[in-house]
Amino acid sequence: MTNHAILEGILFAFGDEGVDHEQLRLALNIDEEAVVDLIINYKEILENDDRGLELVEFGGMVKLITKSNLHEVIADMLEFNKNRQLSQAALETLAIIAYKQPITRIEIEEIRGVNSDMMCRRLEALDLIHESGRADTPGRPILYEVTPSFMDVFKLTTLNELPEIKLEMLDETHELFKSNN
Amino acid sequence: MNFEISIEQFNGPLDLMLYLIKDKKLDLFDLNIVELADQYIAFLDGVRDQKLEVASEYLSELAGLIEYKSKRLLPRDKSELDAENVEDPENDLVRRLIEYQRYKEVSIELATRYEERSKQFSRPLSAGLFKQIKRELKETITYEQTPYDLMSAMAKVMERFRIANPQDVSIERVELSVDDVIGELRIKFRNNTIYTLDKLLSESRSLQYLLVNFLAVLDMLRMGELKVSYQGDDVFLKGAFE
Repeated sequence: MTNHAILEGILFAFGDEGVDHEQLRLALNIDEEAVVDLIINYKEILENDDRGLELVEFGGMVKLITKSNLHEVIADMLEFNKNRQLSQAALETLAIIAYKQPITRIEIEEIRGVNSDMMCRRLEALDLIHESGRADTPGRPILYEVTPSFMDVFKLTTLNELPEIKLEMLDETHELFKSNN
Repeated sequence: MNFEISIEQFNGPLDLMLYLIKDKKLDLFDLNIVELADQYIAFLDGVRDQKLEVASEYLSELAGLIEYKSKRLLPRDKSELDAENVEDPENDLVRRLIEYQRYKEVSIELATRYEERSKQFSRPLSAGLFKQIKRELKETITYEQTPYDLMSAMAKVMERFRIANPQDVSIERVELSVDDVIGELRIKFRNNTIYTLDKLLSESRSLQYLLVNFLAVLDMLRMGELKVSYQGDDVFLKGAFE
């Protein structure tokens, strides 16, 4: 049996849990480089139009998901197709955490200007952020980071894929605040 | 001043200020604090009857704005202007507004990604396979976890139960008390046995039994009869009788 076939079988069996590179390396008894090659190779095979699946690596887990152009066909068959929407406030909070992690709740509140206690709890319950430790400052506040599940729901292999944000250049003129004189 | 908008439309005082700046075409780099403060106050007046009692953050920013405004209106002491290292509250506000605006923009990108991802489906790991996956029970388990670990673990258990028991519409009334289940659990946890929350709850025959089981676990945790540890996706439970 080829490594392609084995990879396909493993990915099917593990579903949305996915597997990481190390697990594949051990299962197939090949080195890391070969795992990467195999994944790229299989990914290309699936890109063909007569395949309905796509291989992704979100948050360090390799898994199979359906191609996005199948969405309508599948959605028509689903009874409960109401996507759980994230509120604008939730998205802003997540953005702040993703860019500045590890970050304390107080630091988040300084940027948002609103109390973020409930929001942090909600995002934690949704498994989008988690406690990554405690800051070495008075009161030892909780530090938050985004979770692998955050990476998955936002289609991210690494956080570097987020658009660049130049926080250190805040003094520069910004489109919104262009001077009128 | 007539505002036809409500406080629910904004994610906080900075959001409101950005709206006012855009709407009134204010120039933030030569910030007219007086105008901004007036707009802000007018807005708060307009929505006074809404949920302002909970929006204390708005009032706190308003206090800041009024402070800036009063400083702008008062004749300035030249020595204060010349002094170095005096923090300029206006610049601080501008910096905060710009930083907040950046994150607002990025969150739009996040929303797009979220929507795209929700159009692609994956199949859940079957409940049967999940039980068989090798999980190492480490010697070094620490039993200091937060309730949120338990919450997210329970959410997973419920999801798996839903998948394993599709279209369960039967109605049964079985009187089952948490105390009875605690008795059962005490026996199970004798001899230092360690269970995962999954294993413990997967033996439930019905959703009701599953819930009572979970309540029993919570009760025993409260009474200090169980210790809990969270490792990866698993919640390990062991008795604390000795």
